[in-house]
Amino acid sequence: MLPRTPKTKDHPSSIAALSQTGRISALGAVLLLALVGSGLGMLFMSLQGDGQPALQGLEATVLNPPRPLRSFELLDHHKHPFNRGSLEGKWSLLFFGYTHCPDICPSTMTILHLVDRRLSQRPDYHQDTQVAFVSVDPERDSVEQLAKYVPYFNASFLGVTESQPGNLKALTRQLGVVYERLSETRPGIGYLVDHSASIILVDPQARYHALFTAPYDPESIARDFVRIRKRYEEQS
Amino acid sequence: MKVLHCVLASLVFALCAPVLAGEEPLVVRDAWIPESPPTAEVLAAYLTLQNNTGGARVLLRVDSACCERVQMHRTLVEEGVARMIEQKEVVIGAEETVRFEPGGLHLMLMGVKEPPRAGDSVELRLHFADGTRVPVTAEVRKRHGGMEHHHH
Repeated sequence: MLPRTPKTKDHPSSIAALSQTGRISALGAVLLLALVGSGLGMLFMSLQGDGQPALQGLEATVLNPPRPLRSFELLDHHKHPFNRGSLEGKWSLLFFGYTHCPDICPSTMTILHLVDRRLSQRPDYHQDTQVAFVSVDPERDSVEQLAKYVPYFNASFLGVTESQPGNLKALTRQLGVVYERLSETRPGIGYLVDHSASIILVDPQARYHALFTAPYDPESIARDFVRIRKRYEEQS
Repeated sequence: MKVLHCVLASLVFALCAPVLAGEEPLVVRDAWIPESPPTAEVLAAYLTLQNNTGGARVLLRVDSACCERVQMHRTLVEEGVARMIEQKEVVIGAEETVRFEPGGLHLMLMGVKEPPRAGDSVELRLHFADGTRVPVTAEVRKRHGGMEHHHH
């Protein structure tokens, strides 16, 4: 009778079932894959704007890299200029809407108020933050109209409108904000305005840094804002 | 025979139970108007319509003494742009509940004579396609009252 060759009891696909040479080859293959994988990963990350890995788990969309804003000239409801200089040295949350909007604008202003309330529990993130409601309906939203509307939601918020036709577009175009006055005129309301419904975050270098989209949750906006700021401070 | 009568009576009773329990064919509830800034000439109103019948109910129009006219609108956010689309009618299907709520369907009260304050009530009248008219009292409330999350 021929001697029987020893059979392995394990499943052929398991590493343990391989001969010693086989195990070294398998390990080598895994190591090689890991090296190539991380190499590709690092290459990918370095292709991003500032070479930093993106923050994970945010509801907000962070621009990478943030987009520097060019000059613009608007007016706030205190009749002070609101321009690029007004955005420098602080963080700004901007929302574009109009005072004759009955649903989404008052809801968003309320959300922003709740964000402000939440941030007030963290003074280091609150004191250099401003919130501005920028009107996409300068024809009806005068400084006087904004002065009655905006403080109702929060006394520290700014209402912003244009004083010269065309000045609003100088800002909205840079932020990708669109608005369109509809031609229908209805008695009692006049016209409606379709408009972008994003909350835009501008950083202390007056750069378009991030945006939040509907539906809004004040808790997650405040949380994301703090995380974005922490990352910004780490990088400075 | 007596047993049969009892069983039949119970069956009939069971079938009638919903009506006997006072379930209305159409229930309108949670009608509210968020308090708005003093500049407001246009207000939104929200409510819930529950249709407990086997047939659709069609809401055609709404009127109120508070304002010149009322329209029905739906807010739509498409590709980041918010629009309001007028609804000529709102259908509440059989056994369906339709909610008018922020960011969605809403009644648009236009030409408001005097912006109401939280605690006030506003009377609305709903007109349906089948000719029925339903009076509704909408409560004016602070917009974020009770919606705040607790600090974790």
